[in-house]
Amino acid sequence: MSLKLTLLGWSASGLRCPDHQVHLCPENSTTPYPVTLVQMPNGTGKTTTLNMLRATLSGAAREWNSQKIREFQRSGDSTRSGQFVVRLGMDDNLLTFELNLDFIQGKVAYRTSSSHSYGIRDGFLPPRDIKKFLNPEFVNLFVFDGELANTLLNPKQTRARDAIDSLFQLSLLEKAAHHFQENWERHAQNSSSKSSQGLTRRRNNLNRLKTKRDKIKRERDALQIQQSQLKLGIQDAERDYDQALGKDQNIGTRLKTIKVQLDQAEKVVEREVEKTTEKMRDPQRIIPGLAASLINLKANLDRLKLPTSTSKEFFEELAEAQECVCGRQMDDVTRQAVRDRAMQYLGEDEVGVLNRIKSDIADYCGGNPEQYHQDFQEQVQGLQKVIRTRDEFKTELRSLEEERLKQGDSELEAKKQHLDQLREQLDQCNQRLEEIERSPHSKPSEDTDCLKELEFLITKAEDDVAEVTHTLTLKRKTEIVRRILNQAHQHAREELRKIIIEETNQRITQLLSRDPVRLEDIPDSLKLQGRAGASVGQTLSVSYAFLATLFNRSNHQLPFIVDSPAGALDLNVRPEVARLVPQLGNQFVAFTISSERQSFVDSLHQAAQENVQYLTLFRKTSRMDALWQNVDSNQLTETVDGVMVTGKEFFERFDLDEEL
Amino acid sequence: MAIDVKVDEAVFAAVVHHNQPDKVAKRIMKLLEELSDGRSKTDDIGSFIETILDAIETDNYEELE
Amino acid sequence: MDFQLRKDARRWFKDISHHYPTLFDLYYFCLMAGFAAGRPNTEIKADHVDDLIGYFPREFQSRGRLLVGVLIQVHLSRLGIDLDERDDVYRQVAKLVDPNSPSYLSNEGVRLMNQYAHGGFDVLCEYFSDRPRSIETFLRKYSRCISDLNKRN
Repeated sequence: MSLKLTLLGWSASGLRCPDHQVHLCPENSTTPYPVTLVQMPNGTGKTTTLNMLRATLSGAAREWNSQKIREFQRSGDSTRSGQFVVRLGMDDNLLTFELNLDFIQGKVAYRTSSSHSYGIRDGFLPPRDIKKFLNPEFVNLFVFDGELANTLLNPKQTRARDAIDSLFQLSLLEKAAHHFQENWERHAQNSSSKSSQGLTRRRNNLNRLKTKRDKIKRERDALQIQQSQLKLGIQDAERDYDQALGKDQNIGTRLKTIKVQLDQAEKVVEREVEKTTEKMRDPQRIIPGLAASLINLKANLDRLKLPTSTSKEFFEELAEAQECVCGRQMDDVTRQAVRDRAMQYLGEDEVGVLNRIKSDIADYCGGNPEQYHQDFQEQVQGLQKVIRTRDEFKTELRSLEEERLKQGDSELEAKKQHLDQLREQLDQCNQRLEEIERSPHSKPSEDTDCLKELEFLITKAEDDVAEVTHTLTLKRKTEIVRRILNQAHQHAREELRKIIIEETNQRITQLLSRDPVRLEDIPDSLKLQGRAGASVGQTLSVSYAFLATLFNRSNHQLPFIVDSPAGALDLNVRPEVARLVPQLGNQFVAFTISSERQSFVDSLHQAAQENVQYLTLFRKTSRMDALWQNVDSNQLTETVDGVMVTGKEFFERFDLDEEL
Repeated sequence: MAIDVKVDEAVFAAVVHHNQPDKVAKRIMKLLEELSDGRSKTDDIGSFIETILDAIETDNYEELE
Repeated sequence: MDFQLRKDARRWFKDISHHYPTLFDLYYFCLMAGFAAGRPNTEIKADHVDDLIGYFPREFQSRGRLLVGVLIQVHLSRLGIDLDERDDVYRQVAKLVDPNSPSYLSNEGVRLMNQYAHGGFDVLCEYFSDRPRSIETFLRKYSRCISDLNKRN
């Protein structure tokens, strides 16, 4: 939706300019005249009025120092304060901005009121929809003077480009890009690595771990095959060896018998080891007297009624009650004492655990507490016995071997060596497999050979890569979207520039038919074709044409307030500018001096279909009295130091360019 | 506050130029409208940013001059 | 918080660890030695231990609460708290027990149990001249070790 802003009027008091009040609307209307001409002789305070208009509409005075503030004080006067009030129409909303200047303290204060909100609020508070227009940069585009016209054409300034950016909101693209950048920076701050080198490093680490894992897996597979082969080999070698050993008939028979017995004894040992291991898991078995201690613990806990059926929750509820269980009234002191005591009791859940501990003690240590350790001791002794039995068979077997080897059988010796070698190899193979297949440490080192640890490290490395990948993906996406926004900004500016140049040139052609200039480009400022500078008149014309094009294109309706719209223009240009004026917007307010009237006012009057308000403002001094003494009182407004006369006739008769 | 049609066209053209799907342009325009209305706090526009980034494709993106 | 086994303990048990389904068995051996000797070690740093698990594994599930009971008993005894000192007993129990923990122990409780395990390993190293090479030897020697420690303590 486009915006319609109108200037409804203003008032000044206590300032360098005469006190005055300007209403820009016909009586009983809130629609201002399309054109208002305010004629003020030089020295009347035209510049002050314009500066006040700008400051009040933009909030710029907030940045003024006290010296600047006091420059607006009425000269030769001890006025303590001044005020400038501007009334605006924003669609159907009436806005008032008040600028109050305290010359004693050298401070300013704004107040804002709106028909859509309640009361007057302190501060410069334009509604959100027009904030982008009511700022120092933008206000200067529609409260316009020759100085602005010069800056638009000044190659060292970017006012023209800024005007396009502002009016067409191209700065939004930059703002959006900035938000994406901020988003990325916020994310990057929390990431441990943001660069592609970081990603490469992590990927390399992941690949290294995966390569190692695959290598270890192949090694494990090979070792398992080797293990099976070795076991088979050992079986064969043992058989060979036993055969060779048993070549001596006597030894052979005894060997067979012992082997069978040894085999059985090994199985028994294995069984007993398992039983012992299982029994060792009962703490009350392995520590002598532990069962009795635990029973004693339980008995004491029972005796002390621990855990008590009264729990912490009981005390916490009691602390909230009005009365104690004994009937006394609770107060802050007793409540706190109860809460303190509650900390010494267990919660209901804790009571539950303790009761289960006591129950387990009863189950596992009940009966005769001595029996548990005794039972375990017997188990260990039993284990010892079967180990001894097995070892005896082993010893016997070794003796047989030695006896046989003493017979000097080199073949037997060779077979023994071979068997020992195979066993040694199997041992090494087993050790290596154990290392590869063992359970993982919780904090494995990077050079581990344990497969489970490697898998853990790989998962961690994959997470690391993912983290950086995500960060880099975000970075890439941010780059892409910023490029899009940047390109769109340039493209839009370029397209708009082309259109604005073309339309501005059309308007310039109309204005300066006799001495045309052509706008070549708007890189930062308005660049004229084939020339570095232009006359004052040309500058003004080009600027008007440019602004007219801008405002027409943008669909926003803003008042156009100009100081000396025709002052520097040649007489032949003035009518053209006058005819251009209605195109600048719905409302044109110009401050003029009498010498600007020629060739301008009449053309303007016609172009505006005679719907023009004429105001003449001057200081009330004795020497000016003659000018207004005979003016109809309906057309006259008098203040302490100023006189304002409405009407075309007086406007056209008034022939002072300077104050008397 | 409406965004000028030239801005709209420029955004769409830039999106196409960068081999991105149309939805990126639509979402960017929504963000610009939001910013145009004066909403620029991180909390307000965070989801716009996220939605646009989600739509950006990196696979078919080529490095352009 | 997890039960923790010292890294040097793990290396010490390496020749017999394959006989046991979990590392918690090795932790348990150290723990029992620590309880028997009444000697916690509070100075083992985090990078010298491996985190195991935060609960009692299957083989120890039925014994878990009993181990908590042993911890309470040993700890009270070490602090010189008589079992008839109700408030003090209560206070210590409340510190060590957490009904919401899978091990029934609070972080403080697990930390204390780990300290007994770490101290128990010191004791085993002192008692055994060399690390155990066979399970058969270990079982017998360990049983003797615990009995002797208990007698001394």
